[in-house]
Amino acid sequence: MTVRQQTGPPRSGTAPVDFTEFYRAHFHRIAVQLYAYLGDHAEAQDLTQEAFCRALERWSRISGYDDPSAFVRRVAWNLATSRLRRMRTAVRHLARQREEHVPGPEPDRVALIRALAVLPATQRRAIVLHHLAHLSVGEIAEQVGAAEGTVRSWLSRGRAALAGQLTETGSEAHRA
Amino acid sequence: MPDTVIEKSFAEFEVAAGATFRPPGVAEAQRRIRVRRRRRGLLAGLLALLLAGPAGTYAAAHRGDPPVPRPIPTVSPTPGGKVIERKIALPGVPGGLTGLQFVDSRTGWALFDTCDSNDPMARGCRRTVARTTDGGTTWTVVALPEAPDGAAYLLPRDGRTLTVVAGRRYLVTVDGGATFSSSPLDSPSAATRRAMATPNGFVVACPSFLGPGDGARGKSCDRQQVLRVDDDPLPQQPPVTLRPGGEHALMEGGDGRLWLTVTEGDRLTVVTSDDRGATWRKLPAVVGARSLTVSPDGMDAWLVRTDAPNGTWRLAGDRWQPGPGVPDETYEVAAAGDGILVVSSRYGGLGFVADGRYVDVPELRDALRSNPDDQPAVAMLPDGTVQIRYGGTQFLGIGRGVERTWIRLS
Repeated sequence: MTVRQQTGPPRSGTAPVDFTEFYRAHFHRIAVQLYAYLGDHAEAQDLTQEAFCRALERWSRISGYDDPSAFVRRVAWNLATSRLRRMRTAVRHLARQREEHVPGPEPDRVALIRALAVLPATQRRAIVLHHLAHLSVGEIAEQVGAAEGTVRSWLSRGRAALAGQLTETGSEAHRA
Repeated sequence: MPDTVIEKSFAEFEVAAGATFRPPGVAEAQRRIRVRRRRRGLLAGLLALLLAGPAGTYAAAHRGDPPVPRPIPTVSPTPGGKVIERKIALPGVPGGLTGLQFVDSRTGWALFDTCDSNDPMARGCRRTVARTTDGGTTWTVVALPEAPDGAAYLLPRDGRTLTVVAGRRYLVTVDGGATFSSSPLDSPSAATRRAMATPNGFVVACPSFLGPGDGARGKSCDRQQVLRVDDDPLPQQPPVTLRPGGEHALMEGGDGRLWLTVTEGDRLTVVTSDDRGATWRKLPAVVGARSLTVSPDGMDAWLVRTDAPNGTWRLAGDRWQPGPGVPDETYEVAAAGDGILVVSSRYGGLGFVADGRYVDVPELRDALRSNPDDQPAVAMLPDGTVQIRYGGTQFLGIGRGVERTWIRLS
């Protein structure tokens, strides 16, 4: 996935957003999206931080955008799906080989992560962007560089598969 | 009904998961940017990251064997100021290009994958590796065995030795892809260990460090050392303190000289050895310098600062002499040799600093600005080729000095 043009023309006559305030307001939401997509909490946090670093490096320009958070979201998603992430993933993966495991996430979060994990990456991405980033079909299409019809198809198939997974998981939990 | 279940699940997930994140903070973001700027002076080898994680020690090196005298590639300067396009397509091979690594102007490796190679949850992937020895004009599929599921990466050492990291295994060839062997992730072969070290096998790690799958042990000590991955300990350690997680970096020039940088506060100190670590010499610390870049032949060393007030310092004898400035929005700098620096811009574009002046490369201006969120990473390959990574595209600048033929591979 590539990130297309910026999120809008620079605002005119508007005071730039304070970066610290911006960071506090948007970090969690973006991190949660990446967590749902990647299924890796630490990776999601690290990539979100990296996206904010890139915004900080260009803050004089980005703070003038209509919606600076859209820039960070796009960069974060780009990182999550880009080749550059490969090295970082390998690093983290290898570094963990001898590290002690920490307690895993709560069961209800695991259920959704597991359900999402069985979806193809395209469907998983569309579902997360729709349900967690609250993007419209058109906005998703623009972000991922796909036709709106394709995004609708991903969402439809993804939802059907996800509902089946979640229902099944719920039934198993009840039986247990 | 299914939509209700999904909406409810995501709403609960958002609340529950959101509470688990601990944002590192703006100060940490600023620190990361500073560290990255220091690193940009070095070639970003994978071991660097493997050994150190995002903020620690790493080894970076001119990959591959020491440069072998060879004719400069017989490519004339870019005709008409245009970039030569080379699309990498393998007839009959499924999937798309997901990895591309060149070790010199002619030799490179490509990974084709039916999965997203970044996806650690990828399943049922069909993976193909190909090799070129003519600068990407033609490609030959190599005999990669069925690769495990999970994320996949290429880790080349030279034109004959390649490690494919796939899932939890290494697939290694030392004969140009004719045959592969396999080893678990926590038990890398000698070839893989060497691929992750400097050309002569040096790394910075804890004394108990065993290999690249040994990340935690490699960082769990009070002081790290310069080690050889497959040899006896060095008789003499450099006269600096190497703390795990500290800002230090090791690299090796094409002439075999070792360069170790240590940053403390705003001071960057370089320690160097020209006898493979037998003895070390400390150069004067430079306040404000962020990173070191050494030309492929090892003869031209510079310190660089890309954040304001930016600046350069060139090594003359055992002294750092103030050098020319670099543009305000410089992203990365690499020493090309003979006093020339290659400079990429944070907002795209690339140029050279030569004879104290910055000169833009016009044919790359648009090509490196096509994606405003990508930033061009620049490095020098061992044979003096300029390498630019820009999103999923790679550019090679073949030639000498500022006279280059530019090739875009995608």
